[in-house]
Amino acid sequence: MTSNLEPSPSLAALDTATAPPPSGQLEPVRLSWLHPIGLTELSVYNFVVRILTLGIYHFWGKTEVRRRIWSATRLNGEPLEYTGTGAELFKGFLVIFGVIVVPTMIVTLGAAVLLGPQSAAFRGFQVLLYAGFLFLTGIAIYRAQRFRLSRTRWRGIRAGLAGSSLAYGWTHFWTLLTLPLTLGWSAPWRSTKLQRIITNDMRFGTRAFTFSASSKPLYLTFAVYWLLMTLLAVLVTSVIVGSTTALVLGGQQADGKFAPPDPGKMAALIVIVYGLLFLAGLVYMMLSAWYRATMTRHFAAHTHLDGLAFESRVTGRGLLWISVSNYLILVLGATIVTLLLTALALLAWQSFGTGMVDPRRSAAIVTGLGFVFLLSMGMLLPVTQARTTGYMMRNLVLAGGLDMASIAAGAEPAGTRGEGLAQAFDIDAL
Amino acid sequence: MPYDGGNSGGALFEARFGDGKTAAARDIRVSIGERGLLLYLGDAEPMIWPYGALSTAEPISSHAVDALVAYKHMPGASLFVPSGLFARQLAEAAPHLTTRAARRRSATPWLVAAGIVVVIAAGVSLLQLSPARAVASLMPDKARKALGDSTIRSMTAGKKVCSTPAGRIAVDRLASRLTDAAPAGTRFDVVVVDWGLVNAFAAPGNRIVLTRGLINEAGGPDEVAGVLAHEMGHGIGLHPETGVVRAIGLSAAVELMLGGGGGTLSNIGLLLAQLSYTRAAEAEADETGLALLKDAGISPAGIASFFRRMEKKFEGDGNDRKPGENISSDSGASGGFAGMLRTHPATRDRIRRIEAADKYPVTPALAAGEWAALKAICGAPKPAE
Repeated sequence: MTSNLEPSPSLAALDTATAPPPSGQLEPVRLSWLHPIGLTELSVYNFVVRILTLGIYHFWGKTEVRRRIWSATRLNGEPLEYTGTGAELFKGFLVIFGVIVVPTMIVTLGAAVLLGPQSAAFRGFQVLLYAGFLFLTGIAIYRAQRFRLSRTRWRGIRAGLAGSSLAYGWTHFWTLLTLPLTLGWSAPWRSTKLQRIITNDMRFGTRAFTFSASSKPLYLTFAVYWLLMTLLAVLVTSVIVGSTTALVLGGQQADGKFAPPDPGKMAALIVIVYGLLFLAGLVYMMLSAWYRATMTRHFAAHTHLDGLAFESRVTGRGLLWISVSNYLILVLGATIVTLLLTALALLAWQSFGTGMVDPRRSAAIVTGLGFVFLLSMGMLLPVTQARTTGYMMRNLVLAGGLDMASIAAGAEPAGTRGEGLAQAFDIDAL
Repeated sequence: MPYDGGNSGGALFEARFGDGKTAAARDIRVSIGERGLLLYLGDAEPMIWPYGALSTAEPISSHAVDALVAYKHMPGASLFVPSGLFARQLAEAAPHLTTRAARRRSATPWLVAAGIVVVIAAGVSLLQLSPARAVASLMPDKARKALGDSTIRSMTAGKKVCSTPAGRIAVDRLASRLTDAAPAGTRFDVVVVDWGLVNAFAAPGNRIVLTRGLINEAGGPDEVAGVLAHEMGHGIGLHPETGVVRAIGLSAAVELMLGGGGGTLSNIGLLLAQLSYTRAAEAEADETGLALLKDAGISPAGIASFFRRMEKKFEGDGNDRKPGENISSDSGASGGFAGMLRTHPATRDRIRRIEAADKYPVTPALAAGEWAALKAICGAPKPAE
């Protein structure tokens, strides 16, 4: 079995050996977006069947959504094709579960028993485990991207990522460590570096994408963003610290000792803290929109595929609108589901219930409803995914053209198990 | 149209054909034939793509405005027809390409599988089998001890452990009198906690916690012995460990249901699945407890009168409080003694059963002096709160 550690079979050889001679005819490429119809119905259908099948249908539902979204993207009127299957995603998930999740649970329990849950050795073990997962995250990102690209075709020609997931994972990890060291200032440099790796590894058939951006032009916008984010963080932290201190000090008695805080005030504090964090999340979404737009435009302008140039026209305002409206759509979906369920439960209670409501029970019911709400936040996700992709595509302009006859089919896609993180262990290589 | 062996198609549609070897494509014509698509590539005879071997980039819906068709025996080749009419006619000729057929293909096996799982789960619970219990019995002792330690730590956080020397001697004597009757080698570690609630619970690893509130409320050493025997019944039956396994299994199941994206939600799931005992487990603990009492020569009247008194105080769902008494059934651990009362509306039956059972020779669970020491195990009684 070919190891997935090495890049696809010598790319240079492939480019010259099997690529047909350029015909010299550049076909202009036009990008258009044909928004998928019926995604809301599909979302609800997927949600219901997912519940009925105890979650397993998730992978098939996701695949159908992807097929719709891919087909909405048109180059010269012809759609992109997604050729992945639900079975592939499911197998990948099973492998993650069996090779990473379950062993981690068992090993952690074993370490807790052997080393003692409070010991320094166990804490050290937990730190190592966390670092390991951070590293695996980078690998997983690359592999997921590789899977999606290799399952994308246009006119029968596949796309792909030709590099090594280990190399990317390592870069992802060590550059992540620079973030706290530079108080976040290394972020634009890091994003550019990671984008360069991915873009240079991207293939359409035998042709390679190229990336020529530097991170310098990003720093102006980033500086503004960084200042605003720091202000936000300082504000939020001081409000939280301030109100907690006020609450504790407020309980100071005559003898200098502190009485335990009044439960009502405690509840109010918790509400304030969570509410503040939620608001902070929204504000972050808003502030980051401008920076993200600048980054997208900058990267697009420096990405090329042979004679094809890309230009993105996304704006901060546009991204902001998409983010906020998507979020509201998700909340709407979750609210409708929770309300429906509550109505059903009340109906059942009326008909079959004992009529008595135990305060303990009601606390459990409210928690349960909260759980249901969070779960159903994902119901309308396909709708929001299509909106985001549509926005990006409608604002992407292609200039120049491609010599179609010189783009030959590339190497066979790597991996057959979807985006399973377990491919990080290169099981294929064994 | 001239007759050509039944291969004549209908209207001709404009199409783009790519051979998949390069990205170049050519304009051709295609029509819907009887047995398959007819592709007119410019040669004399059209190429036939039989319907059964066709697939489309996305399942054909009623909204389709075009179709991208692939042929199983010509990998890489693609046929793009920018016509909604073509898509609809193709859907009629090849129904397996429609959205309905595609969804049925993907959903049906899993709906069936889920149905089977539900039937099996129902069967398991009806037959009162316990796979969680089987797993729990495989747990090594060290793991059980560690689990027990952390359970007790989290449940008694901030509370003082009562341990006056005389009180401890009394507790240990009571415990060993009961365990001498148990299967060989069974030892229980009993801890008394300075907590006003009336509660007692068994933690994994043969550990039991009693509260000051329970000891104060008991009318005599036989009553405490009865409660202790019941909790030992839980421990001997591995009920606390089984509860933990069930909770872990539930968390893993939630993880699976959320497609691996659980994270915090699976932790919430774990929290929701508290250590609560099934009726079967409670009945089992009852039987074991009564057997322990019998073998130790302690009267079961103790536990019966304790139940009676508690039941009177709690009257239903445990919200009644008499003034001056710090009794609450809100133990937070529904596996605790107080929870037992709530989950057992048949307490009166159990009381009657206990009192109707054969009598056997008994001696008081503790001598008067030991009982006094036990009552004082948490130091001098606190002033009324």
